[in-house]
Amino acid sequence: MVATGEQLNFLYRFETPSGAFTYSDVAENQDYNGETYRYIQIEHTSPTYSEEAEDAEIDITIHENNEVATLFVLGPPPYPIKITIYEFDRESEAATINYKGWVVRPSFDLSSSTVSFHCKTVWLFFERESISDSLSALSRYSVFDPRSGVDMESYRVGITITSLNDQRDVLIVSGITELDDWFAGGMIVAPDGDKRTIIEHKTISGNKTLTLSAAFPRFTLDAGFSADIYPGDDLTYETWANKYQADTNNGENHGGWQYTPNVDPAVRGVI
Amino acid sequence: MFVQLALLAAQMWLGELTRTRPKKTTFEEFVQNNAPNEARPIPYLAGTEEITPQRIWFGDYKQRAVERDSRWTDYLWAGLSAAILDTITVAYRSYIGEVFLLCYGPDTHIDQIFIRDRIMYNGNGADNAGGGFLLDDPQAWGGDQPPGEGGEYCWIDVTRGNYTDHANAYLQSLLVTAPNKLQSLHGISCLVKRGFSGFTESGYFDAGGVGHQPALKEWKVVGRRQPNNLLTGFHKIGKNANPMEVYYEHTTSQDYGARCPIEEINISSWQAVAVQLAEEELGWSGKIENATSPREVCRNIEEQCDLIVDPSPSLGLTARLIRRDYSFGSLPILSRDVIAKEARVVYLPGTYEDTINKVSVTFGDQNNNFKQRPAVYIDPANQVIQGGRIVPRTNEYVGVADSTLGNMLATRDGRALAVPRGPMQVPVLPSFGRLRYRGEVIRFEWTNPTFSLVMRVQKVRKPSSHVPTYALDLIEDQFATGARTFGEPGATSHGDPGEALNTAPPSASWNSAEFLPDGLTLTALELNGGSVGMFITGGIVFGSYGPGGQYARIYVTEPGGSQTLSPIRLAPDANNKAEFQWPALTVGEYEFCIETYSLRSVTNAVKVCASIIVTEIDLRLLEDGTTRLLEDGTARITE
Repeated sequence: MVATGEQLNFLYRFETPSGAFTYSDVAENQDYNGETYRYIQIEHTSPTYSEEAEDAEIDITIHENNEVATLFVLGPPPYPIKITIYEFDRESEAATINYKGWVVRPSFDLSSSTVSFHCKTVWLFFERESISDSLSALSRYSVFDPRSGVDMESYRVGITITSLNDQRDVLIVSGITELDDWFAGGMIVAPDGDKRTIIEHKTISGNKTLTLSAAFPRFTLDAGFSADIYPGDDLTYETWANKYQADTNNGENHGGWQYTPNVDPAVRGVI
Repeated sequence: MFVQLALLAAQMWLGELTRTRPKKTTFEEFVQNNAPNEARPIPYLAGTEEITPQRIWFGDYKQRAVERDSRWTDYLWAGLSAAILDTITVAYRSYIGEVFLLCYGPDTHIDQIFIRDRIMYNGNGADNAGGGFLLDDPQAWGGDQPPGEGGEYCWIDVTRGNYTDHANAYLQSLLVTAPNKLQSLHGISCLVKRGFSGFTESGYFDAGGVGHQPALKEWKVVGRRQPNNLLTGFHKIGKNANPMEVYYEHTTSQDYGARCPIEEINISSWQAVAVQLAEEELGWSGKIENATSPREVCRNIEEQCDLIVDPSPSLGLTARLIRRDYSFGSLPILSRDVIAKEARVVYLPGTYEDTINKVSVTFGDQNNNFKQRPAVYIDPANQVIQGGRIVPRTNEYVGVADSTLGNMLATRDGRALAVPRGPMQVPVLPSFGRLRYRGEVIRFEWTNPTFSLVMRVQKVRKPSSHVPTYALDLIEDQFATGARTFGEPGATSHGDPGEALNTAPPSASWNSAEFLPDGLTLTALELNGGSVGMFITGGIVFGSYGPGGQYARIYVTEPGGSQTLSPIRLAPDANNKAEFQWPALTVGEYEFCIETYSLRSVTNAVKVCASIIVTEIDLRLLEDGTTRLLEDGTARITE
């Protein structure tokens, strides 16, 4: 048997909607494919490709002083982060893809100033329950789902945050001209893309007030910030056929069925 | 007589006129007379499979009176006035519109419809998604005259179940008011049975007289879906769907799939596999009616098709089949040259203890009303080897619906599981490992012990920051157990350090310089006990031989005898010389021939000979022990 003959180094590329963050475990910056990979303390566990999807999950441990960790400090980013790891040959400056996946969970070790990112491959998408939807009066998908055919961007309304309560989950805003409840069940999007569901939309003492499902962090949304809001959906046919009639063809796209009888005399006990 | 007949006729009239008349059943009563049902998950179907569809709507209810049909016997007692009897209501025909949820679409074609297990429609393989057809069996349950319970007559619409078709016009007219529109049930294929208002006489499903309550019946539908999203043209495999199409739907579907982005899929590899599966006639027919996950469905397809789908970092989700599709000569060689230094190579030769000798595959036979049947493979050789011990296994494949495929899979699995195959773990160099992938076949060669195996890659562990090598988990390929070798007589990669010994050494020569006159000398030696023995001493000089390992053998011809091979083997000393002694027991000429050999007994077969003549032997002991040679070159010992 012979020695490996190769000193393996790795390049790490984290891809986010706002750009890519690139790191290298080589003790100097590396240029590859037009990007500079900054040296940092970073390492990862071995991915194994087998019939078990879990075998290909890895952990990347990195010094906490990096841009990706910063995204998670104030809460998880509201978008997926893709990771690509290259095996890098410093002599030839050739790279081979070692791993491709998605960051699904961070873990900060505050005492050692490191953060570990748990990553999964494309099998991540397959982790969902299926063949469980049944037909009911409520739509099995919302207006924000591509199947609805609703162009939600056309319903976007720009607002400005006037003030927040102490818990920061009730906002007084300006820019809303719609009647109360129009945005209930809808969504508010902060400038950094983070999102919350609007539970209630009321006019209180002349102020347009939005109650959110949960508060935004202070640096995400504060008084004076601009934000976008989208109207809501209670999944009923009536809402789809009236509120979104133009985009749902007068309710034709609704994903429910309010006519299922309570009885089906012919089939008993079949689930 | 006439009086009696008149009384009988009057009695008959009276009976007919006072007979209890049937009552109409209102829709509310109709609904109340039925038992509750639970909403079921929307099923998935591909290939050809039978489902019991959920009834998601019924309405457009109507009843029509059925008048008595006079029989010829009526005219015997009522005369021509028997025609009046035809106006008497004896039953009601019931009509209803219904909607059945079939499965996720698109394009579910209806092959057969059974109502109460009675076949009502046979489409003979026609594509009817988006179209319609008539169910025409009004006498199915005895017709509408008592005691008959009606029949079936209706127009059926089959919705396409895509995301572009509009709602069914018949239902639209009944259920909503413009401008609102009825849900078109995007993504779901349905079967719409039109009621009375939707088509002439359509919706007839029941009839009955006094006390009869109309009841809906259980429908069973044989649906057929053969999606063609991969656009190979090989999406139909007989009645079945292509398994890769099913895999694709569960990978990408917005409704029930993984919603995996298309760009993450190596489509060309999926298309190639789809084509090969079609050529092998390995189709998929099945249904999924309970909650599951896309991964679970896809794994079942992988097992059914002997398929590997791997998330290659460079290629995306790549599909490959486990097949006998290689030639031994073209396989990559896994030998010590590519195994990491100080790596531990573990090989566990399989044993029959771990094997299976009976495999069952159960399926609903689409050629026999989808009744459950098993396909069975028994490996008698394995059972005999295991002393008659039966080791069974049942493999569950969702997509098997005919005996041909069931038997094929049972045989395939049975053959693979009946032969022990050993797993192996091998750490390899990055230069070798980074080219490997799951499902690949490689040839493993090893020396000490010398053996070779054709192995299939089960797992590839890539290097990490702490482990710089790749590691492969291998298992002997099920198609290549005949390629096993152990102690292979042919060439191996073993470097033979004694290969030069296969060349014969040069001939040796007689050492005539030291052993006069011709390399042979007659000598008298004192033996134990004081007697004297006569010996011929020979000296030889070996030729130069690079490998170094040579020896010489002596052929001796004694006086009056024939040449024989002596047991003497002479090895060269540091000066490439050697000597031997031979007893001279009689007078006469002795001939000695030498022949050289390598340590592998390879010789040039050249004998180099010398001879000596003993003229007289005097065994008396000399006082001074000297030897005297005669002038003629012979020797003797004298006082």
